[in-house]
Amino acid sequence: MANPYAVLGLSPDADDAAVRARYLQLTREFPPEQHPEKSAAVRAAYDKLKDLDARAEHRLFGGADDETIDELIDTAIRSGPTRRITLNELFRMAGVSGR
Amino acid sequence: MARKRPTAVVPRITVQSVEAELKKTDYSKALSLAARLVEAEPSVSHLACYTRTLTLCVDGYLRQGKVKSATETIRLAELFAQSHESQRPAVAATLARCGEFAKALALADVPATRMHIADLCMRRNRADGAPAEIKADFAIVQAAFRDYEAGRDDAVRNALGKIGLTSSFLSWKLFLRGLLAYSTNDAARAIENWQRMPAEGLANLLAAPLRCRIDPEFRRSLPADRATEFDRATENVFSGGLAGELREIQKHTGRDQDLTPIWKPVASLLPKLRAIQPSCVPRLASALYHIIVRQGRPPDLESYRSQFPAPADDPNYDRLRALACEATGEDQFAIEYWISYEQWLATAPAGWPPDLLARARAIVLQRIGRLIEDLKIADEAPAELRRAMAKMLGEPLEPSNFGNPDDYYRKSLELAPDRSEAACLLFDRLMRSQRWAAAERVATDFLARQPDELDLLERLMDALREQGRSVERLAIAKRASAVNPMDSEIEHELIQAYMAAARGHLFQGANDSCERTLAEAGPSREARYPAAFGSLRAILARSRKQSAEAEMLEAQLVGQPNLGPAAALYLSVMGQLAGLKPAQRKSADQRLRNALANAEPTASEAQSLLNAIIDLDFERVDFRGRATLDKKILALVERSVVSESSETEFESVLRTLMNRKNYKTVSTMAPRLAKRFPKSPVIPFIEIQANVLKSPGRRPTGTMLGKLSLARRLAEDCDRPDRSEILDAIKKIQATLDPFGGRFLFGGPFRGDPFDGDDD
Repeated sequence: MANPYAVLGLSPDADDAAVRARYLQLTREFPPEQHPEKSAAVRAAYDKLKDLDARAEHRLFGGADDETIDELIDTAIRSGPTRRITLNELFRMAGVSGR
Repeated sequence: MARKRPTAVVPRITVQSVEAELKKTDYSKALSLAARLVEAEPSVSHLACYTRTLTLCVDGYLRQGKVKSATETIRLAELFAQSHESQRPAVAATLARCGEFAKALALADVPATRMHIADLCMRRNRADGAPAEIKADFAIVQAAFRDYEAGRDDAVRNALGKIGLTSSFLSWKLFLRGLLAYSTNDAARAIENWQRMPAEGLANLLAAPLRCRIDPEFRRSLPADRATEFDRATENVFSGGLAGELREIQKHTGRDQDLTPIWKPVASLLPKLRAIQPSCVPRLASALYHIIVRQGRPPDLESYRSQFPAPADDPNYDRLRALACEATGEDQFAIEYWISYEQWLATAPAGWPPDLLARARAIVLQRIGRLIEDLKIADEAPAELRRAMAKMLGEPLEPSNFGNPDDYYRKSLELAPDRSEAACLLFDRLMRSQRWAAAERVATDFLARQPDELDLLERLMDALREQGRSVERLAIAKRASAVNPMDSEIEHELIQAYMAAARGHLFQGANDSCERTLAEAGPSREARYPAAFGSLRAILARSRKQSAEAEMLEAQLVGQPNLGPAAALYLSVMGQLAGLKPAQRKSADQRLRNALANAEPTASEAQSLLNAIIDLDFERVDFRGRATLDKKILALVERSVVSESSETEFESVLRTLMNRKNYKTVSTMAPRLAKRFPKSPVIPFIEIQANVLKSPGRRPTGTMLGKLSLARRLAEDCDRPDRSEILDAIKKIQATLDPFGGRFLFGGPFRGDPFDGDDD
């Protein structure tokens, strides 16, 4: 589960109204029927920030779910180099020696 | 006559036996077996087997660096191909893959041989020794790859236009076209091109890791470990090597693992991460922070501090230490660290909006109160348990001294007056110590601010029930029901509250109020508890000297199937407490005597009687002859074993008796019921629990343990809907026997409902 502030695109000082408004905006942009994964992520993030209690709990204890090594690996892969893969790298990826 | 010696059985050579030797990489034996196979019968399949063995042996020897053996095998292959024309293309392919281009082409100048020559050129990155047309196409494909790597896609397409359908580099053309599509996220086109490549070609092998990412059907066709290998390889390339290093760290972050080995890879990763993905550095710090909370030790915190700056929200690492201590059960230290953390929060650090800060402090203070409360419970534990815990921990258990949890809850409430958790915790503590008035004040103050808070409304209802304040209880129950009319538990509470209020009015002689309360409850609620409500109506009629109506109501109630004895009990008790004269109570008392004298009551009748007495106890209804009545009820319940009731009904009776701690009655009934229902796992299981709880601390006998095993076997064999629940309960008890060497301490695991999953 990624950082809920990042998922909703909010700053850490967002209040109830800002969180709610952003949640409704994203729900309209990503209806569950068309974007099931994204809308589930938005809903989960909203649940973590929806009121003062939830936000305080999250700030005190919630980080364990926000950042995991898996998420970092995913980010590293997704935002990795934009250059093309070289032929030598293709050989290495397939585990074929010779070049 | 001399006995004939048995001849040794020589295993027959088959294609499978050759394959087995190849699998074991015993190449010389595989070759020898394959040769004998051909010698015995030169069938098509045997010839193909020999050729395949030759090919795999050459590859195997080369992999092992045994060039001489490889050369000898190639020579063997050549000789074999001379005399077996059908095997020439396959042997030529092997020769081509080994760089013997001229020999390969001389043996079989076919497209497959040329494709292998082209593949080897690509693999070696040079085309010396290859035929001229292969050299020319090699140069084109090499240039096309350079253009592809530089993002000059049009140049790639132009170059590939020169590779014709008969070119030995056709598979490389398809590969490159697929790569172009892949890099523009056109998965369908990439798959389409890659699907057309010959399976045995090198290009197909190189495309596999990328194809595995976008072609689910292809992925499914691979062995799982091969697909994972491809994933790891591509991840590493795409992440610039970061994924591999992150996975190395991740390897050590499983539950209960030592974190020491992660700090070296972290140190080596950080400079690369700062250079390639700087935004990931604080994220890695955050991930590791929480990994330390979960499984770290003090040296891990030191390693963390040497590599990362202190987190803005926890500059002194008090929160980290508190959470880590909680995770390891060191609550005393956790409290100390939380206190320090709360003190830091109280300094109003930057980056905390005031309302969020107040809320965070309230949560931390409540947590401290809760931890202190748990410690205090440990302080108050029986001496035997304290001694056992001290022995286990290797240090004396000193009573904690962190102040009163009440003060933390109150401070928490001051900071966040609308948070119900602290109010509930404070209320519960006050109730446990029977400080009714203080508890009530906490609830009413909170409800003045948050009138619809169900947690507090329900607690207040309980408190009022304990004190017998039935009218106020009913008022609160109505409020709770108005907040959530669909909640079945609240509805049950409301019915109980109506009954209690009506009963209270009746006992005080306020007959009209009783009547009004019953009318307000309504017929549908009365119908859910006919014996309890009906008896109130009958006694009300008696109080009003409406004897005929009372007689009719009593007769109706007592005549109801299964409810008769319970109704008789309610009538007798209500009559007594409503202050009826002995003459008015005579018939009700007689009905109860008759019911209790029943020689063969059903399990349902026994159950309803038990439910009635439980209800009266719960409602704190005390009356004359209570103790004697209990004995008579238990005697009646015991007599029910001979009735024609079902297994489920009897199991329910046994469970109710266990909840009431009537272990002796269970011990008497269970063996007889076990004979009647030999397939029930519940009956022997409950019997064992009753026997243990009758004399806690006593070592369970062999017979009892045998019965426990029997219960487990019966549970495993049955197909009841509650099978897994029963099995879990039995396993839990069996597992509990081991840590204590078969000794039950304080009857711990057996307390409470036998099927309640809660450890409490």
